[in-house]
Amino acid sequence: MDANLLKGNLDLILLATLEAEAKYGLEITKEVQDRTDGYFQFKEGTLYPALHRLEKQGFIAGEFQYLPRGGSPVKFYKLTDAGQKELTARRKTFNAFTKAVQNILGSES
Amino acid sequence: MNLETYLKQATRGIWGKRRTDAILELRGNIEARIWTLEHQGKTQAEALEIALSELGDARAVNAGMTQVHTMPNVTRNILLAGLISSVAAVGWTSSTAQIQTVVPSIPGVCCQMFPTIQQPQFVRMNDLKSEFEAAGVTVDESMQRFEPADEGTQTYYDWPLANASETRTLDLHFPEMVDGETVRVQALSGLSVTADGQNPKFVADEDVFISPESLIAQLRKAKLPMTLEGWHNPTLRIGQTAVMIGTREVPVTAAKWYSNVLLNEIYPTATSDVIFTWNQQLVGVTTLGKHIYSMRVNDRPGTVYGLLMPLKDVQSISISPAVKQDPNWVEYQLARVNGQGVLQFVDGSSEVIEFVKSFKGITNDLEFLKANRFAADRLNALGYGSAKRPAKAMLVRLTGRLDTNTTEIVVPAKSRLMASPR
Repeated sequence: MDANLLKGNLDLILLATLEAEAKYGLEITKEVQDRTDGYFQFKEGTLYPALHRLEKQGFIAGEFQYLPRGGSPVKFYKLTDAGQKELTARRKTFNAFTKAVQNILGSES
Repeated sequence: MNLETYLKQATRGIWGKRRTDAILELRGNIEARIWTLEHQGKTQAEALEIALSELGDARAVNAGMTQVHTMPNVTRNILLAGLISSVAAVGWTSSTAQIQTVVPSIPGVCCQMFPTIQQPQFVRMNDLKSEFEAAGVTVDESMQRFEPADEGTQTYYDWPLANASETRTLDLHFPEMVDGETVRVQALSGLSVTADGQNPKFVADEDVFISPESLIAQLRKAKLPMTLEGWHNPTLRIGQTAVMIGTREVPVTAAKWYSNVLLNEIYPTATSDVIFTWNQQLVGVTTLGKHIYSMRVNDRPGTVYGLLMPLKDVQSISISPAVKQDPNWVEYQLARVNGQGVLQFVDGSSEVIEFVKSFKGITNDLEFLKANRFAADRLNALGYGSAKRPAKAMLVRLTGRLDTNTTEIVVPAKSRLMASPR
């Protein structure tokens, strides 16, 4: 995978992953890997800085919660209203871009 | 590495509750992962090792974390308009953090030096080639005709291009690039620099060199993830490749390298093929500075910032009176965050002075004037002021990512630039 592809769409991927329900870091990593068959993988400190940045921008909100297993709490992130709007806008832009590129490339034979 | 060491390293440079929360969050996720792995049959030690490995190198996590948490505003819509007018007396201490960034595992690339001032000028091409190859970069060497308009050619100086013959060229393919993509850097053709009084001279040399300007400009164009860290023998990282600029035997300081980053930020090299030429540079500080500018940024000690502001004292520079009266001169200074989290820009900081003094070649008044007008216009165009109320200053965080559009222009919240008589 070209790392730039992940980097360029990281915010969109994270917002979309949190759309259905609140998740903590490890869950986000796992879900992204599962939903993309391992195509996207967060590593080398990509995930948490990105989450913190989105939180600072007001697109997601984090809250520490304890898991049933006990131990230290984990931080669950959920999409805010502003985040939902941002996701909608980014999704629209991305879909339009993808469609335009697809029109040029044509379908894979 | 044990968990506590990892957490400390990953959050170093973050302060207060932000650090507490970051540690708590990382710890919670690591514990959750260990819990899962243990249920899959791993021992606790194995599970910890896997969990930390999956999370990534602590230094990489730290780099991302500090980028988010130590810069309250990291967008380009922040203006320091009127900042310089916020003048108040502050005490000054001459202590400056000495930052040693020699990383033994990173090879050093030898630079050619100006004998009189010991400033790095050009990187020895053979060193760079062998170190890049050792780091997994594919290097193709060839002889190419030097044409000023070519991609990647060297236009930093007024070179005698008309008589230039073919020169050694390196096409670098980094692991992060797609197939067929390369970064091209071209050697200065067998020339070496010597200092004769105030004037550099270029003489024949068996070795060939490339310039920092050319290398950085080409890497920026390729949009490779790139960072510059440290001051003495700085480390340049391009993706997963790292080289130390300078060696233990021939150490260098990074004034020029950071200057290039700062100047690239002002001049739109990223969107055009123009590579900075010497006569179009911003002037460094003047020789007899009168002020010290202090600002608390709470950033990691050693982090390098650049400050751009109108030139206050042009008397010591050899230019025509007409140019001296032009209001659009801009000067820059470099400073490192000290151990107290404070930046102190001192008019006449020695590294930059020596760097600028070494080139009395700034004699083309028209080009210089044009360049500085352009710089002022550029600041305004970026939103750092307007024609009616021009930007007064701009602070740029230079340590960190250098790839296009990611150099941070920041103003720490609730901070003011304080000036005091020297």
